[in-house]
Amino acid sequence: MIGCGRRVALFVLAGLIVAVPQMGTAQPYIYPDRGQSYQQQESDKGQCYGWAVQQTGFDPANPQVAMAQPPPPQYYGQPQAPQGGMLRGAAGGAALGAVGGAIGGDAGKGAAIGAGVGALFGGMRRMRYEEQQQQQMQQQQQQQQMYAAQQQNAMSQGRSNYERAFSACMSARGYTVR
Amino acid sequence: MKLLVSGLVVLGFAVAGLSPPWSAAAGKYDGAAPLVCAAMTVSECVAEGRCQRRNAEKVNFPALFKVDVKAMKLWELGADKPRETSIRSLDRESNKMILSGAEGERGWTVLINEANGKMSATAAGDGEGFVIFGQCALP
Repeated sequence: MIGCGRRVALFVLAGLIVAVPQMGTAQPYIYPDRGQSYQQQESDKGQCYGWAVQQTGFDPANPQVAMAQPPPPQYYGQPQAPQGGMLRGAAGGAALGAVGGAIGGDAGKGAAIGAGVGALFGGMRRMRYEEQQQQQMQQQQQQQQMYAAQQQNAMSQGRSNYERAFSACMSARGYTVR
Repeated sequence: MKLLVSGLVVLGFAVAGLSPPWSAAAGKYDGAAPLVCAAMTVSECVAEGRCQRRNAEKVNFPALFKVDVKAMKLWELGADKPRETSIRSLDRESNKMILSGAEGERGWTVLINEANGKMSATAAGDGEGFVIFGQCALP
């Protein structure tokens, strides 16, 4: 019984695998104006497919678009130090960030506050740190959404170009393509 | 640890709210014994004018601390490694005890009403400030 269930599941899965790549790609209707045979039609379709892929750089059998990778995720642990004025810059230096990170507060003020981890009032930290983290996460999400939308757009553009090229090729060989 | 702190805060509120917050007999705090203070609300302000209410834990300030004017120190209560700070100056004015000090880039003040134990504290740095309100009591 279990074996039968497994077979059914495999069958459904296989069906899905076959069906999924074809979803959303409406096949064009092709009519042979000059009475071409079925074999001739298949041959022409194959040649036009190759030509259209070559012309557009888009292969509907392997739909991919060349796009820049999304920016890598940033390290949330340490927000950017605020751009300080002259005083902060002069007093700054490499040590600032390190101690600031240890306190977990305003990274730019780290060393100065850093008297201490044991400090009562000096160790108080502003919520800006957490706000910065939230902002960074929101930006990251927005970038990823934008990237996904661009990718979808480019994909649809590529497909449209391919279809036009394929149609042009088939028309030139004596077919009506709709 | 958080549970302990929460417990202490509850205790602090109990000390502040249920029992007489201040020794009625004493009337005025003489500084002989350390005080226990509970930070009840914290406001975080920035120079642009925006203030937001926080709780002590969120801004890394102890919910309970001890004020020892004899030792001229403030101690965190209920921590494994209690933070502390030195009182640099102590003033008395109109039944208020005003303590102040400095740490890193920040200066701080703690004002305690000697009549009722109400506490107001500030910690200020460049373009930022915290105002803490609470209650002190003799343990």
